[in-house]
Amino acid sequence: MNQHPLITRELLDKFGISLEDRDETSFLEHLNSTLEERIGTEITESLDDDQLKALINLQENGSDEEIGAWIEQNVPELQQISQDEIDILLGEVAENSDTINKTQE
Amino acid sequence: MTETLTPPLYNREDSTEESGIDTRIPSPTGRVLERAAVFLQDKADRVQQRAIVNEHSSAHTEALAEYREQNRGAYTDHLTRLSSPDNTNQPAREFGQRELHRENRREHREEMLDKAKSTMRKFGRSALNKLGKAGLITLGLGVIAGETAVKSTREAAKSAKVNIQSRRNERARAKQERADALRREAELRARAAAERKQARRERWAKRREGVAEKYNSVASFTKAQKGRLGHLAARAHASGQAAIDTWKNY
Repeated sequence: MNQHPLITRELLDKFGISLEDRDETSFLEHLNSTLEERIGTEITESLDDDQLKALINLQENGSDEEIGAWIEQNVPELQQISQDEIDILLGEVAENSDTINKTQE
Repeated sequence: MTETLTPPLYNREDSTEESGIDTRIPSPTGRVLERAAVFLQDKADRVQQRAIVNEHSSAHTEALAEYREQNRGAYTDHLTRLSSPDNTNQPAREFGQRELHRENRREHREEMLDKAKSTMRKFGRSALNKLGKAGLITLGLGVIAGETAVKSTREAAKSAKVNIQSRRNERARAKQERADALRREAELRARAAAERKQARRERWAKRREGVAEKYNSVASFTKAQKGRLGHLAARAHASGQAAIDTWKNY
């Protein structure tokens, strides 16, 4: 998991979401891993076939640092992609916050 | 379909009305007009043919897309038959070749995406780490709205002589209002973000198609290039067929 997860307990609290500790931990893990996966998916969608092939090769043979550097160089819209995925996920959390709270009752 | 323009003729010396045979020869002007008419008619025929093919292709493409969704293997077989050199219908053959090439590229891409699936989280995590460190992404949620609500709550509590329970109620209400405002803002941002995402995906797909089209203009290829393309297409078809078989047996 990301060492500095973006979605935190404080954020859930701001949305008025209140969960039991154990549920909250697994819910946060789920949200953060979903975010990572969605951003990763969009990154691969943005690449043409040759770039995708190059990234797959790097994934098999390169380090995390090299992969990160390659993505930064070859995905010019990386910031917008990431920000939009964050906004979309938080929108989903917001939309379902009542339901999430109700599961605790 | 083709109407031949009758060129103006001058009476030849040997033509006769009784014989019914028109043995007149065209004048120089007539010959020019005749050539122009044939040229224009040929152009009109080609435009009409292209329109028929386009209209046919448009409806055909929709039907094929549906067919593809239902049965990919049969769809690819259909394209292979269309693109066969034995198919004497040239527009259909070219259409088949284009679509087969596109389909093979699509399958190849899907295979690559499958390979990358297990590490997509890794790509996303890497992106978030880099951007987060650089301060390039934010949660961007209701900072101003939250501060205003807190400030007004504090001032209200200071100025009014209220008991503890009322203050607690007031804080809980303010927190709920902030949460509601935050959610509304988050939902609005999410809708805008989803629209941008959709527009990006369409742009990327068009760009990929554009690259594919560049390599699809078979008609302009040399004989050697066509030969190489045919060989590649056969290999792609084999790997595509293998992928379809794998899919069928999944």
